[in-house]
Amino acid sequence: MNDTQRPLIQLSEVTKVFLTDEVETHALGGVHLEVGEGEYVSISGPSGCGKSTLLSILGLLDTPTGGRYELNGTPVESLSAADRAHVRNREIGFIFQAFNLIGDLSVFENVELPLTYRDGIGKAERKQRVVEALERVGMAHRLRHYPAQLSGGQQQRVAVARALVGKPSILLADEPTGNLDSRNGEAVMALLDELHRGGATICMVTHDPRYAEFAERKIHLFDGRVVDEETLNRLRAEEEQRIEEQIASRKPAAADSAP
Amino acid sequence: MHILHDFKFAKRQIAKRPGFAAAVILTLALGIGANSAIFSMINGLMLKPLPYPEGEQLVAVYNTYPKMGLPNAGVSVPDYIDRRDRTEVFQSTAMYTWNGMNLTGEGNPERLLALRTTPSLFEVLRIKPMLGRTLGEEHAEIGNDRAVVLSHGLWQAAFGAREGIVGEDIRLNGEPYEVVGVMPAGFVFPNQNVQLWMPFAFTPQQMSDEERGREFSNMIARLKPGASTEQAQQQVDRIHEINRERAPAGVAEFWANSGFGGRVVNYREELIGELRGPLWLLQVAVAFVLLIACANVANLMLARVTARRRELSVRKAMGAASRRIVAQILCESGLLALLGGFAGLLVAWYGLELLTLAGLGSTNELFDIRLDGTVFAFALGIAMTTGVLFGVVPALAAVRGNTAEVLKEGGRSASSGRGAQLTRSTLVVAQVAIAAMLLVGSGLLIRSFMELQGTDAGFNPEGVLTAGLSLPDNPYDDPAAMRDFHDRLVARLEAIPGVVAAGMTNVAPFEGGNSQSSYSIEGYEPGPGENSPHGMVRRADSGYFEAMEIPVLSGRAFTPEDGPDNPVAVIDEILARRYFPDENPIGRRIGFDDEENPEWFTVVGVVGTVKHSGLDEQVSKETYYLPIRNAAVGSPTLVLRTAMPPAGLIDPLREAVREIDPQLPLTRIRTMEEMIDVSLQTRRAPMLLLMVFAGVALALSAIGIYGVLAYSVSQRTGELGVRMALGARIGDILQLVMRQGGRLVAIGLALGLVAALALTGMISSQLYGVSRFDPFVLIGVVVFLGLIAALACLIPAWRAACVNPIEALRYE
Repeated sequence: MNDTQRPLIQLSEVTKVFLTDEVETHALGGVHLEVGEGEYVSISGPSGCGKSTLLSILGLLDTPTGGRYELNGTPVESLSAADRAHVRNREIGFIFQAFNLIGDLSVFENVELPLTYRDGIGKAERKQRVVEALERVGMAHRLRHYPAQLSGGQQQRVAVARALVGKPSILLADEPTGNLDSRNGEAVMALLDELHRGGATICMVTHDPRYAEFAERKIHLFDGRVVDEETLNRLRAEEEQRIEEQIASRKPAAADSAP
Repeated sequence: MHILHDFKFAKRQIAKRPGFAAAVILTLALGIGANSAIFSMINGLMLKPLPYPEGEQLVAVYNTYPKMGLPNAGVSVPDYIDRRDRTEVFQSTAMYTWNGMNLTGEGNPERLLALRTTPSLFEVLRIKPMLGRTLGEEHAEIGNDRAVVLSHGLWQAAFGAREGIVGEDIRLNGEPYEVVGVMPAGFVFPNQNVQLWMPFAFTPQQMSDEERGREFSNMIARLKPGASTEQAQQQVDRIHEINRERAPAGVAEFWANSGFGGRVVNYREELIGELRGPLWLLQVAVAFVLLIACANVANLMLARVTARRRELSVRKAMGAASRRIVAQILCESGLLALLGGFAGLLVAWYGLELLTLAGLGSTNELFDIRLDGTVFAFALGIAMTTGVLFGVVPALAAVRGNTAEVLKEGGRSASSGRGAQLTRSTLVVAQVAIAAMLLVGSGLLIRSFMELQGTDAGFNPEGVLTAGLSLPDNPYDDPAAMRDFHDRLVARLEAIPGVVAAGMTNVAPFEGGNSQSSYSIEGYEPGPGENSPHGMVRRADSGYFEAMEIPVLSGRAFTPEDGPDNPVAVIDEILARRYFPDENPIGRRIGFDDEENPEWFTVVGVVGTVKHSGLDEQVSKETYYLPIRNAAVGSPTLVLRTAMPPAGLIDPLREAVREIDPQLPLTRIRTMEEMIDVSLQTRRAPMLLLMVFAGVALALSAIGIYGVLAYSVSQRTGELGVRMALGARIGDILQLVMRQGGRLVAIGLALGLVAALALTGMISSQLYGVSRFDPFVLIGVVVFLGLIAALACLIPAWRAACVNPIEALRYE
């Protein structure tokens, strides 16, 4: 984030602990993160590093165990469920790996959905905004189709339109290409890039380094902490070394004397 | 062998999910049990033969005066003799009447109900005695009629089952009667209360034409093989035509104006009477409950099959044909239905007890109402039918699945398709519709009953105790002796502490008896084609009107001085309006007995109209009251009003009667409120039962709605998570699920109300004071069912609102 950008997301010392049968799992261990307005950030890291937990907290689907979270200058870490739903609806657009379109609703109705949870928007305005959003992702011609009638790439475009329709402050994308082939994956990444260039703030979780390159800033998570690239590489190397040693120690001694 | 294998697997499946099995079995048990209980009533009353050989040949024959509102009157001796001697369709005929007899000489005097019958009764019924013989034709002669046949119960209870009793004399009403036989155990005619059968010997006077109109007996006949009721009716009608032609002009005119004739009805039909309608109504109602139960179980099975899609797909992948899959599912449903059927028989056993307690069915032991082989077969039959009914939908759903898709998904996405969802929704709509129909029916009956309970009987039943007396001929057939007894007894009764008023009548309201007679009005001539006056006649005393709180509208009631020296009458409002519309009836005279030279009674008062047989009675026939002190009444009823609980008067009442005549037993001791309550039984029982069935239907429907929505919520967890991620609030999710349930309920309600409006014609005969389109009931059902349905929707809706979006999205 550069100095001119207004901070949209500010996390300080955010922790998340899960309690399961008296076992404590520290998913996030004091995360500091700032995302500026208009910034495109990727979050990557190995499986179980806390990417999804971090994204859930950023998206107000979950609450942190400790620390502070300010969204658009407002502290949101201890909002009620109803207030969090309100903020989610207005400030955040979600793009999921599995698209998560509702099968019983048409493309139009799927995109319209966030607006139906918002008071004071008339039918005409809703329609206009849905069509605009679909035009932005190139899916306006499939208004009446149902998700099952679309390809994976098309479904994800519709999902992006749904994320955009409420004009949120930030788009949170969770492995947006995870369920797509490379051609469709690249098309979706190009779409996000285009949105970013148009001023959208995007925070994307991905495990694919190729797609992480699309972001202007890359954040790495390791064991629930944000680390820089150098530290990440070092930690990875240490872990690989440890695993190799464990494997070597398990090899039978007789193998050395084999003919 | 496949079927055996399938049953084994079905057994394992059921054992693996005991909760599921218990829910299904319990639901079916309720449905099958209720059906079997009602069916056992129908079976006992309508389907099983009567306990007399070729009982279907038995017919009851009545006199009838349809134009006077009297469809069933008793039979006079000359009418009986005509039908006995001048018809060809009857193989045998009998005439009988009831008599109360006091058995003395064997300990305390005991009041017995006897049937005075022509000896031919036993030939008509074709029942042989257990000991001795039945009455013979020789006993039908006056002077030779001191013979009696004992019931098995009386023989055991009063005579210690002593075989030597046959041939011995017993004392009835103080007179000796020879015991000629004992009937076998289980013999009942016409009901189990009759313990003695005595000869009905006709006097020459009784057999004369002058006796026509004295209709105090009943007639039963056996049709010849192949003869029909209709043929008998035609022959009886023909006799009346001939009699009319040769009758004196006045009599012939009365017969023509009153529509006088004979009425032949199947004896069983006559015994079942008003029960037929309510029983069939209840059978339809429980059939609906069973349908709802089936729909619920089908829904449960459908959910179960959905959860087993992977297993079924593996079977299909292994080469199982669709029919094998269907057979397997049907085996499971069949086994569950069978278990449900057995549990249902248990429910039916208790249900039958409850039905009897509720007052449905017949108390007449003539009918064999129990769970027998036929009921067992019925239960088994409906169990098997329901097994197929609720098994076939999930079985078809099971074979329709896309095997490859399911296997690819590893069973993770075991959500059912739109088709299954639609099926489930349709079942719920049907359940709600049926529940709405039953609720409308039950609501209408409840409203009717409430209306009925609020109906004024024409007197105040609260605080009234009644008791019957049976006065032997000696000495009470002497009017003077009767008068003396009356005056002493009433004076003694009035002296009982707590008694506000005491009186005596020949027939109290709601007692079951009746007394009607033609009469004449001084100066009144019936117009052409008009019947001569005919009304209900009641004997009463001065205390009767006060004890019953029958309002005196004008003039006065009887006084203690009213008697033979002062012949007066009190008339009711109907008589006053009908025959004295524009004049004061007080002082006018009404006459009886002899048309040429009647005995005249001066009208001294007009009282309110009293309902005699039921609160729902539309009283159209007038009543006139004559002083009881004028006549010898064999079985008077005492009426006492008290400010205390009436039951507290029973012992002092017994004591008072004992003081006057220690030989007189008291019978039929009941409060007036109990008598009214009994009269409501034929309405209360169907109402209560329909209420219970509607309640069960409602509960099952609520469970059905809950089940479908809960299942739907579980299937839509991912979608709900997405909606929440997009900003849906708890209220939005609640609304979403409630709307889904609400739509089903609304459709079901609409269909149910339309069907109810079409079908309530079935119960219109059971309604009183309420239209079958009663808006109060219809709105009440919509609100009540809507509320219950809303509650049923609320739980899954709340569960949906509590979905953790992170978990939900992970699930997706």
